[in-house]
Amino acid sequence: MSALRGFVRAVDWVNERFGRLVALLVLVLVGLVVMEVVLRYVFAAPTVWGTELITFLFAGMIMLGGGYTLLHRDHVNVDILHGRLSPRGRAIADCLTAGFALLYCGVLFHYTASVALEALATGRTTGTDWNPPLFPVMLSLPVGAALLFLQALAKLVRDLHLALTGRVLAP
Amino acid sequence: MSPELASLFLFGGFILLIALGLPLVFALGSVAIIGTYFLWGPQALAMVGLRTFSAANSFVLIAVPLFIFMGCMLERSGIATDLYDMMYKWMGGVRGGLAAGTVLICGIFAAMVGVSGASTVTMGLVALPSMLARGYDRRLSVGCIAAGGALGVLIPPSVLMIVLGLYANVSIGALFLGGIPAGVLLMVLFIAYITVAATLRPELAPALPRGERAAWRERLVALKAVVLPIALIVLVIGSIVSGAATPTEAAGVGAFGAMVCAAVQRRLTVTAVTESARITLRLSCMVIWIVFAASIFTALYTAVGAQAMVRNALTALPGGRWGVIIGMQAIWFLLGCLLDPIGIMIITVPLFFPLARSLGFDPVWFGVLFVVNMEMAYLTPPFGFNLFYMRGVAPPSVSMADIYRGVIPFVAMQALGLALMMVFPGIITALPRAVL
Repeated sequence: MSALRGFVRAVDWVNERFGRLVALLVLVLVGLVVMEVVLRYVFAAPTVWGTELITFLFAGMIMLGGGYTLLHRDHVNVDILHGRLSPRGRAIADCLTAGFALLYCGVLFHYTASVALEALATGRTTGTDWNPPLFPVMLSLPVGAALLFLQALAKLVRDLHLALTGRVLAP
Repeated sequence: MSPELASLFLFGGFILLIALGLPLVFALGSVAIIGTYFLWGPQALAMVGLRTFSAANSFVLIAVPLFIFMGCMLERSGIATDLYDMMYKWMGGVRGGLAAGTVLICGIFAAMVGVSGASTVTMGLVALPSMLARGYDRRLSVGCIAAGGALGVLIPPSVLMIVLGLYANVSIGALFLGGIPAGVLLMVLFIAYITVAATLRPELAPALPRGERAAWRERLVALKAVVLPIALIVLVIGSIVSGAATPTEAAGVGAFGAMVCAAVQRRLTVTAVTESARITLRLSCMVIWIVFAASIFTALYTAVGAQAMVRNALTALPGGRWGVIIGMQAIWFLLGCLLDPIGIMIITVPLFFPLARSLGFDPVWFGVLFVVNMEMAYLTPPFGFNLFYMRGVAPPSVSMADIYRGVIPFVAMQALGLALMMVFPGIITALPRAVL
């Protein structure tokens, strides 16, 4: 039991830290977009890398924030039935559907990892004027999927514990 | 597998999972994966990675976190309190003035934020206690805030319209332009209802006693606080609809401007910025992860022939092409009781938009109609976001029944607005056509 408690706490900790760090990327995005706008409209001299870098940072931010969003229960769901159940009933319902959440994250991890590893191995680039390598942004996809998978697994462990024992594990 | 059976499996599985409370992103994603596996075999699953990557690489979607961040920063600059204070001084002396004024403030707020929750929660915290303390009817007070708050997705900027524009391949600038008159029309209808109700039954919304009304000097001074944020809104929306900047560029500049507004109010603290950034991340992930999963789901159900099936069912309705449009509105309304607007959009847009286009309807008009319809989705039980937001911020003296009954007249006004925009399409299309 203490191993399980350790696991869910560790997952919570990783996603909380990661999420708080990744959240700050929005400030970088604001800075870069404003910089690009000033260079484009005031000096008529936009950078060759601005738009691509902004897109990559955005993709990374959203991918890596998925687990943090689940940790805070912000992935929207419909709670017509769900909302009327007791906490324990809700945990039982969530145990029934947890396999589907894990399936999505797992498949997403598997197929994005293979694309990212291929990009890393072949050194593929974007083929634009700036022409950066693709693997950094591509790696954010499997890492993000893994973070979401772990958080979904931690939630399943919590729900199972509550469903079986009626007590909350590691609040 | 026949299209009927495959569609039944896809929709049935999806509806079962969400009814059990599984988040939309997982329900869409897992059903699509299982369907792909059985229809096309395991090698087809590679598209899960590729489609997610191409969705994550969209420049337009970057506007989503930037607009959300802009709204969060403006919220924290104390603008809601300043706006309400100004409105209270100007309109408190009129019967129903605070409720009508709250609708106006919600409209201005909607032009700063792109989601419906932000204005509902903020106005619920600022306007609701003030109206209740002045003897306003509980249901009227709650209803005008919930309905006004929903304007967040209709009056630009709008996260819903950005995703819709991308997804249905309609100009986001044109949708924004069409959303302005649509939002104004709904505000006029809300205010008309409030005015009539307050005139017929003055005890619902009493005017402030003479001694408590603000002097003209105070009223003018109160205007000062709102100048900067309003200038920012005009700049941001103006640059998008005039075509001078892309939504992403305008959103970035708007977010920067919102931080300047907060700094001027001496509220640009480290806590305010980091808290806003975290809320932005969670809300953006919620929306965009649904887009990821939906891009897989949609590819699949387009392939199984669901489009042709829906087309046949809808064109069998009486009333010709208008019968089809009315049927679609009815489906949207029903789905609106059960699902959130992004989910409804993801499921219906690939089915409805090509059909509406082929029947000769203007896609901008149709897109704005969708968003107007979703205004009702925010208010209709059992699943209406703004009802939950209201419950979250309303004092215990307001019951859930008060909230449900309070929104009824406002939903009726929204339905009336929707009907007017269908009968007179020019309400929506005139502005985009004149400008673009």
